Amino acid sequence: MLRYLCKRVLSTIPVLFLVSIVVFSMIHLTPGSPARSMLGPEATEEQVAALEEVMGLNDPLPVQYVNWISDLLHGDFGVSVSGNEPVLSMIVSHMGPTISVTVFALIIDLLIALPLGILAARKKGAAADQLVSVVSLFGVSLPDFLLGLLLMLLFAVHLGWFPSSGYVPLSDGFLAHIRSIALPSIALGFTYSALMMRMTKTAMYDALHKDYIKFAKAKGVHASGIVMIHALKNASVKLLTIVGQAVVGMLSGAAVIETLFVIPGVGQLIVLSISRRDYEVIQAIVLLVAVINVAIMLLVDILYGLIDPRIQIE
Amino acid sequence: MEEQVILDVKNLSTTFHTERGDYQAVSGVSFQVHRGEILGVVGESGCGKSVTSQSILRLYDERREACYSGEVLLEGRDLLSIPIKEMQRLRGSEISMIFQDALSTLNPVLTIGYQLREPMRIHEKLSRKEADLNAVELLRLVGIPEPEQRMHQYPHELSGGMRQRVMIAIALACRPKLLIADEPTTALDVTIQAQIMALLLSLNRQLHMGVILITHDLAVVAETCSRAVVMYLGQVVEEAPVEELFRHPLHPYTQGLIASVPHLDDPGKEQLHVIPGTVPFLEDIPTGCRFAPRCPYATDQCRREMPQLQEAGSQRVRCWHIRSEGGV
Repeated sequence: MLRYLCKRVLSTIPVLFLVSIVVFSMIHLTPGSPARSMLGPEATEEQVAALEEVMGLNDPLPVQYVNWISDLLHGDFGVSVSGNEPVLSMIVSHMGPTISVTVFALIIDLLIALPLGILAARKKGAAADQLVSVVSLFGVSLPDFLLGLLLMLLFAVHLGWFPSSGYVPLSDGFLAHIRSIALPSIALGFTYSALMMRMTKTAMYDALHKDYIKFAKAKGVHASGIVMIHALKNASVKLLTIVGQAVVGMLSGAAVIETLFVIPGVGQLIVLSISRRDYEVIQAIVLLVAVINVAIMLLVDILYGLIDPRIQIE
Repeated sequence: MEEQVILDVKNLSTTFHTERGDYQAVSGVSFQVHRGEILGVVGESGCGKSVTSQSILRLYDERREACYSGEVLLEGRDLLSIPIKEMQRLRGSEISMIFQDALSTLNPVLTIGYQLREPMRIHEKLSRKEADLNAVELLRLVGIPEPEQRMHQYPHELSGGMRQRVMIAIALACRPKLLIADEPTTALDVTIQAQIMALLLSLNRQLHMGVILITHDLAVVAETCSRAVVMYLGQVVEEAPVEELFRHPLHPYTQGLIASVPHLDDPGKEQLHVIPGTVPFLEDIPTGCRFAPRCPYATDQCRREMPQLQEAGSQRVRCWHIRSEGGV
């Protein structure tokens, strides 16, 4: 187990290195001086030159890269140009809402996808299966922002059950918090549940037709034990991949939903930073998303090994 | 002395529902299994022997996959007419089944211990501790060294022979009255095959349970079974005590099967006997005797009308030639 873990952790290093190169290059790939684009057209040449000096833009590229990386590794993500606030604390303060929405969306995703996917696998070809196919096709073809708008129109504007926008932190009460993130989470979760449902159906259908299921039946295991233990544990290896992808997709794809529902999350921060040309913040967020991505994939790999002991050997 | 009949299969038929229509894979199969006896069920691939055994346990989904007719009496109780919940209670406790390939039959993501405890916890409502103790005993019974350690291992960590033993231990966990063994040695090396057969024989004697041994290997039947049923295309074509069957096979198909076994002590014969043709698909089952297209003795009557199983001494055989000529 330890060797498997070490191998997996080591294999993330090249990925992170490549990502850091790409993120670092962002600032240099945009046309014109980054200092000029940050300061805007009214700034004088002296001001631009001064900022370039402060940012270290006159050093050779490798030196700049090493400085940048060593700052990052020391937890120094720079200071936001427009906010005059450390980038790290800006991101941290925006993390809460994004995590809340993602977790809630994932719960909704799984609550929809797992039961329906399992049902469709058990009754392949029957009415329930057809219904699940229609629902999942609907989910795949409906973009999350459109679903978000429709939900907002129905449940916030017409029925008034949920607020149409805004965010209430968890510290202000659990119910109020849930109400504020319900609609964005449903919009996000439903879109991902379509893919998850399809995967659950295929994975469970495969598992349910294996010999070990026949043997479990011959042992007298009840239908619930067959589905929930014998088949689901085998299918969950395939499902984990999709859950991992969904979490990454929700975290990084929350920008649209967060903007739509005015939720002060990381997605909203990145949209704002792009419009302000706040490179330090953009770089930090892109890097952060990449690191989270790698971390989640690593976690998924470790869980694979825990669920299916055969994987550690390969 | 005749032992008590534990399983009496009467006129069992299994029809599968497929997209291209309904096919009867087993038609009107009848046989009995006595306590403590090993009954061989022999036939080529596709003759319906596995379907028969899985129909006894009603393993096919009756709402979607298949429908059964006839009777399967376990100590007088018809398994085909009891509710499925009741059937679930009998599976693994009164009747157990083992399969060909233990690697695919054991669940790859559950420990040996879990899979061994499961039937005891379901049927005998044992606590985890009690089930653990019994499980270790069972592993010892089937000849697995260091059973305590095996409990925490996964199927892929064991050798093929060990896995087969584990599967047998799981099937025997609740001391069933009847064990159905569906080609239990086909996927194994020859030496391991002999070990597993010896194990099955000794367990059969120790536990005094009935065994249905499904196989295409006539040598295995000759060594282990007291009686055998020969199946062809979903029907029983001959049933006889094993000695009779080998000494004086009545059905042309049985004769062909026995003649196809190579003999070391018969060096003069250079070519193996082959039964011409192949088992037809279920959609083009012959109208008369099902073996007629491949039978060297087939007559017009054979091709027109289906013969019935009839007594011929201690044997039963499904062939027109028996009545007319007293055997072919």
